[in-house]
Amino acid sequence: MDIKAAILDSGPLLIALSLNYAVQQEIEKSEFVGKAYSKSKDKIYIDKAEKLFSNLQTFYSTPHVVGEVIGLVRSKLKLKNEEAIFWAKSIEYLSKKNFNEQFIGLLELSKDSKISDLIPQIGFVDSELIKLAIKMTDKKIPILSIDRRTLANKAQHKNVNVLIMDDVIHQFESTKRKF
Amino acid sequence: MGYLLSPKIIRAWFDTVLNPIIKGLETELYFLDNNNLTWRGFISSFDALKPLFSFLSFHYKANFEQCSQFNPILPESIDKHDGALAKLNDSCGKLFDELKQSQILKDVYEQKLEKLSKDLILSEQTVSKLSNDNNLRFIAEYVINDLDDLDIAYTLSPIWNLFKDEFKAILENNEFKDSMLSFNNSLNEFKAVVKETCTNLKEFRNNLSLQYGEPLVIPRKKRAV
Repeated sequence: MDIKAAILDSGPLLIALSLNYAVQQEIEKSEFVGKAYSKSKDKIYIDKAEKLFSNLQTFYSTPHVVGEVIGLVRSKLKLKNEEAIFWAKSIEYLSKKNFNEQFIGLLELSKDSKISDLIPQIGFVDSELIKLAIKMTDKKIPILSIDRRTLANKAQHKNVNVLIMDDVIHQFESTKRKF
Repeated sequence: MGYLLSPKIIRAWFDTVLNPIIKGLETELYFLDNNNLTWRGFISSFDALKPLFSFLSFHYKANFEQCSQFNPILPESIDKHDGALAKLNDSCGKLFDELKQSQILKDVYEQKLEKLSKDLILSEQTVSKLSNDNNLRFIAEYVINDLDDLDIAYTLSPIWNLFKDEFKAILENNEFKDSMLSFNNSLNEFKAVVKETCTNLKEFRNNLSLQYGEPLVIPRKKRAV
């Protein structure tokens, strides 16, 4: 599967930033990123995740997802004094990935009759991602998530394409590796 | 007194000994099939190719010892695998050191860096990072691991991605002939041993599964991420 751009949910965004940090700091990747997402402890998984993010040229997301990631970095990675370095490296990485952050306010979202029913079901952040994907329907940019049960389920009811990261990873064949 | 192996014991062997070892072998095969040895110059060993015992948790050492006592195929497979790995480690280490310290690598790197600086608009910061002497260690590592393009996260991606074929071609130089021969021989031996070990242990595990009625893998309870 050759995707060049995706709307990143907090899980994949955290994994991408953690992977970047591990590479930059020469830390063992699977062990470090494994703190962010336990499946990443598998070296094959992390190798394929690296390929996935390398193929992506543009990351889309929302400020609220970034806010979630800030909390996840603190709770999962526990970098303490290194957190500032993590974010400096992450911002550098995101600028290379043409990071496109789009804001959709709560009031705008709740006025949209197609989306407003989702807010009490899956929350504001996930509803915003689905709204963003609908806005970008013409560009056919999927949401990339690790959340199969809630976000993916509801998004599909709204005819929004959601790729579950584990499924994408498993589709990568064992061919010549491209970082 | 005769011993009775029960499904419960077999389950424990699967979960704590055989499945982790076989998973480790499959990981090794994945990287070997990609020609990526995951060599790390800093620690002079491989990231994903390891002595088989290291794929197990030390908590389950007792299970490993029991399983080995009843099934000689396990310690024999481990000895064969680890022996081949040690040979590969030695030959790879020797080749890596020679390459890293070679004048030819230094010359090619400096030549390509100069070309890159002239042809592309690079920031002073980027040029400064690329001029670091330590970079030769990484280039040598990428050559040994036969990497394709690097992600932008890698500092050396601008120079490696453009000139990787020229860097890899350095190993064809006569200077490395003996080391390459030793390395290729030990690599081929290791690949064959990993395939054989993986096949044998899977067959052994499968026989136990069918004999005792224990599934190879049982569903695990989902944990929060």
